[in-house]
Amino acid sequence: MTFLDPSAFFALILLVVPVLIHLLVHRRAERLLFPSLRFIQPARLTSLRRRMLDDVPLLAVRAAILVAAIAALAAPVFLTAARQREWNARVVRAAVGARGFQPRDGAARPFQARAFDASDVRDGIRRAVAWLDTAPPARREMVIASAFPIGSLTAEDIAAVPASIGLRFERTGALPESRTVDDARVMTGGGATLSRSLTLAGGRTRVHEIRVADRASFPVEVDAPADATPAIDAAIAAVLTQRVWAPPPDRRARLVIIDRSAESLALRVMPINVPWIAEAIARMSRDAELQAAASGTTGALDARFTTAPWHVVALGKGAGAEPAPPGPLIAAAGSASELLVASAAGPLDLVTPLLLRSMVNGLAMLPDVRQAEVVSIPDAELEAWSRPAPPPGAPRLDTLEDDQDDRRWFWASVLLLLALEAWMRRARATGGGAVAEVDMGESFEPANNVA
Amino acid sequence: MTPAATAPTSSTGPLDPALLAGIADLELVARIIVEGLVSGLHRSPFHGYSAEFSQYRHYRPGDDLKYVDWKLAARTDRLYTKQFRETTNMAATLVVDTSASMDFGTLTKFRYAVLASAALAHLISTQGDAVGLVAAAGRFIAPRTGRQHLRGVLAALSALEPRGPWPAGETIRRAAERMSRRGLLLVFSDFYDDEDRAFVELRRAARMGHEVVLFQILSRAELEFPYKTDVEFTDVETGRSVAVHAAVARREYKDGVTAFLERWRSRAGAEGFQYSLIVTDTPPDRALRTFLLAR
Repeated sequence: MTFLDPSAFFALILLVVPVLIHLLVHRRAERLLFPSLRFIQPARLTSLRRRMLDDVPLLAVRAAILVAAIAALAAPVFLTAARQREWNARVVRAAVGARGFQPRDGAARPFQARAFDASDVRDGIRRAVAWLDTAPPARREMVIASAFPIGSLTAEDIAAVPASIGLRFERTGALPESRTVDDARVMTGGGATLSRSLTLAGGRTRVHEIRVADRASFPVEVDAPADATPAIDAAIAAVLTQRVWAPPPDRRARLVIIDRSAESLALRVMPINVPWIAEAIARMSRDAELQAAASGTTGALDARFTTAPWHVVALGKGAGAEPAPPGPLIAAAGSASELLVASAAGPLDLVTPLLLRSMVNGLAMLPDVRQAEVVSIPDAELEAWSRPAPPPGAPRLDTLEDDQDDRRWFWASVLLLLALEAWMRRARATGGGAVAEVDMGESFEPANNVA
Repeated sequence: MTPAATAPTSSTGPLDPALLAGIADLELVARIIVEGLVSGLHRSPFHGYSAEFSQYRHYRPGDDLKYVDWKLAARTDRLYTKQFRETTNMAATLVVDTSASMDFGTLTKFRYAVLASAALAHLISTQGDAVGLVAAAGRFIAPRTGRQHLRGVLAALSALEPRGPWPAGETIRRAAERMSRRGLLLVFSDFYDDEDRAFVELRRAARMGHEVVLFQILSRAELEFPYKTDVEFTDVETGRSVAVHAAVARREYKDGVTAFLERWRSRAGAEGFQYSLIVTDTPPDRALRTFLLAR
């Protein structure tokens, strides 16, 4: 037997209540003045002590009532072999796949089944897990149907499925031998913009580029002291030699080099409510090369760049000649239409061109080429992820069917014990069991008692 | 033992003892009770005035003319005055137990004893007999006739209070000795106190020529012992306490009470006393009528 809500047993502290009542009531004997004690034998005190012993069974019954009620509240479930066999014999199945998918029955027809239409397998798996968690006790199985292109499922996705759920994979549909998709545009040295298309064929990817513009404006405007212009231009030229992603024309950014002369500079920023600006800031924060370069750069933004709506993107070595704790070197925010980045690094610092590159790549709108994948997850990997539906463990109270809720037996025992307690109380009140017989019918008739 | 006659029906019905106990005027209560119990009695329960002819003597000037035997005067032409033996009206003395044990019950045994004795005093007095009272050792009212004397007896009854132990033997002895002639000794008590000495004195009073009548008064609770739970009983006279489980102690208690009452009944019968056991929930007129019918 197991208890699905053992916290109810904290109520056992209430057992002290009937004991206290038993003791307190017991000690209070009624006091009466009586004309003569000559017919009341002092030896009967032993009967009083005997009654104390006689009351132990009554106290035990009362305690048993309380224990049975608490046990009922603790949601008991008798895990009998028959019940386990019953649960083991049935299967609850969730099918994740395209609309209309019907999985093969496998080893057993399902006790309950439900299909989850999902173009995104990961989303379908998440919903299927939530449904299986509320299913009645049974072996739980999830059947996933897909063409399984590489990237659609990973080992991390499989690890997120609870071990109590069996997994079965059914390959449906076929991936094309090759597929061509448009990639994002790139900017090259000299400001040229290239359009890219990817052709995926088997395990090989072919890139086709076409020049679409000769001279496109750099999407980041830099505010720096006038004497820093050559350094900034050099930095931009260096960025372009890296073939960075070309952002859409409506996505712009501004980099402000903060020095002492810019202390009074007012920047109009607002809380970020444009998704591409937020995504750009997130990409910049994940740029490992930028983070590494910033950590070795001296400089720090003042306090106004460390509070909302500014977000610190990278930390620097701090300001001053003396060693100082890391301070904010680069912070980003948004305005109504552009990304704003403030940097305390100098124009000639290595971090500046890395920051420009990160900003440009952050602004880009990158397609998810994983959807174009033509290579599927190998059968061996799917086989390794597969596992049979394990036997069900202790169920949850809310998943039990009514006829498997064993609280009823405990409540029935409470009722029986209550009846027993009432009978024992009545028997004690009439003296039953304590003396051989009590003659209640004898009475005196004074009218007949005249000598 | 005289079989009890069928009690005559009363148009007024039984008198509620609790109701009677609530009436402060004892004379009134006594009269009510007596009116209730004498209706239907065919004869006086007590021996009343009697005068017995003794002899004739010559008439002397001044003799009461109603005692002149005129028939004899007609035959003899001489005047003779009848002489009688001394009048022998009955004298009754009430003995009331004033011990603390009588102060028990909703209608206490003591109050019941006062009501019953007051009723009998009224009855005896209105029938021309003498009635007196002995309560504790120091309180004695000699039996006399007359309404004024009756009022005094009732007033003395009203002034009595149950308190402490009662020297039953000494009180009975004093009552028997103070009665100048043979009479009726009416004892109202539960007879818990001084049992043996009391009986000895009662027997001595009977041998002195007095007629002894015993009214043993108990409450229903003393007979039935209706208690069921743990009870600590305290003796009203001694203050001693004993704690028992009443339901368990009931059997032995009732056996003891039964034996106690039977002992008094049989001993009274053996000595020729008239004995009545009265329970305080019995209407006093009914209880006394049963007693009177048996005389």
